[in-house]
Amino acid sequence: MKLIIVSCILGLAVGATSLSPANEPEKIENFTLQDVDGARHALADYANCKAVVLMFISTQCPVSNGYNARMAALHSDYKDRGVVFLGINSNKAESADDVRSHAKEHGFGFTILKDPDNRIADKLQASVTPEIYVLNSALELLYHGRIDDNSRGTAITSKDLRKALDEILDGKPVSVTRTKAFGCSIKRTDS
Amino acid sequence: MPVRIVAAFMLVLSVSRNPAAAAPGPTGKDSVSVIGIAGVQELIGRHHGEVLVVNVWATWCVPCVEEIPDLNSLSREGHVRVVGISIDDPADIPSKVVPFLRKHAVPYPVFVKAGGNDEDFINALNRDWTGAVPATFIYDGTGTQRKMLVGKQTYASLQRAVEPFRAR
Repeated sequence: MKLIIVSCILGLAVGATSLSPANEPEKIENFTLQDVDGARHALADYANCKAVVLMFISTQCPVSNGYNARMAALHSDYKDRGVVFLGINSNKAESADDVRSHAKEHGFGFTILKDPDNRIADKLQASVTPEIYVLNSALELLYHGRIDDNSRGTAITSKDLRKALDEILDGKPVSVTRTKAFGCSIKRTDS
Repeated sequence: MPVRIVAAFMLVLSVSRNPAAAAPGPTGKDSVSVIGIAGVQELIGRHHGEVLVVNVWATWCVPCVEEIPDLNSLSREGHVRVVGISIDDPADIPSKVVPFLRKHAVPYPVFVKAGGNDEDFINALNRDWTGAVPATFIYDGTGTQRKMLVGKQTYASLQRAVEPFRAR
């Protein structure tokens, strides 16, 4: 089993906090998961990043798959700006092999973690794919919700994740911290 | 078909992408109209006196498809009124939704969510709903939402959900 030591290219930059003192951002507790090759990744490993993007995704969900190209593009556009992307697959029916081949097929450059027994999905109360959580360097939750407002990519009016990342990188508060979208329910071990 | 349901269908037809489309037939599988938030609210508001089960689903959603036979059974019993709202693309009504309803002999009326803001639609049904499908909403005879069931249901779980609200 490998242990991955990670750091963000931009080093110890401090991410913006988005919410007022009266509405403190939720702190996400550290967790460790293995990627599809067995390497262990702790959330705290990424605490020197400007932002950590957790993406609950699926190999089979048509909504999640509708975002494959957009997820790859987001990673490509932000990976050199101190933002790390971690895919998380919590679906019981999708094996590490499935996830690995799916990622290769769609050119994902980001790490994908397998969440056996949907422990992290439960902890974060993630319910659909795709579902996004953006954390700052203190592992505080700055944005939770969708990638954008149109899964088909044909009539996008709000690029919510890009907007949140841009605001974080600009040191501004995240203006919209919670969004919703239709998605496939995460297939948990108890479902 | 109760008069109030017919009235609700007439309302949703007014927002149909295809004004020439016929209202859903008694079996609900011959044609399908789109429905927006106002149409859903009207549907619920006009449903007083009987338990209404609103199932939000999609043809591409495996657990949604798996629970259709149980919803069919619940509908055929006639104790509650079942309505489906598909979140498939309205453009896929003729190619995917209608063939699906025919194949699965769905006996209850089904609509397809109109284009527009998904989040507003999600919140209109229940602010605590994340948007995960399938989701089933139970309304009592006064049109008040009493339960939200997220994830695949069974005939037994649906029966348990509606039983407290059925007229005696």
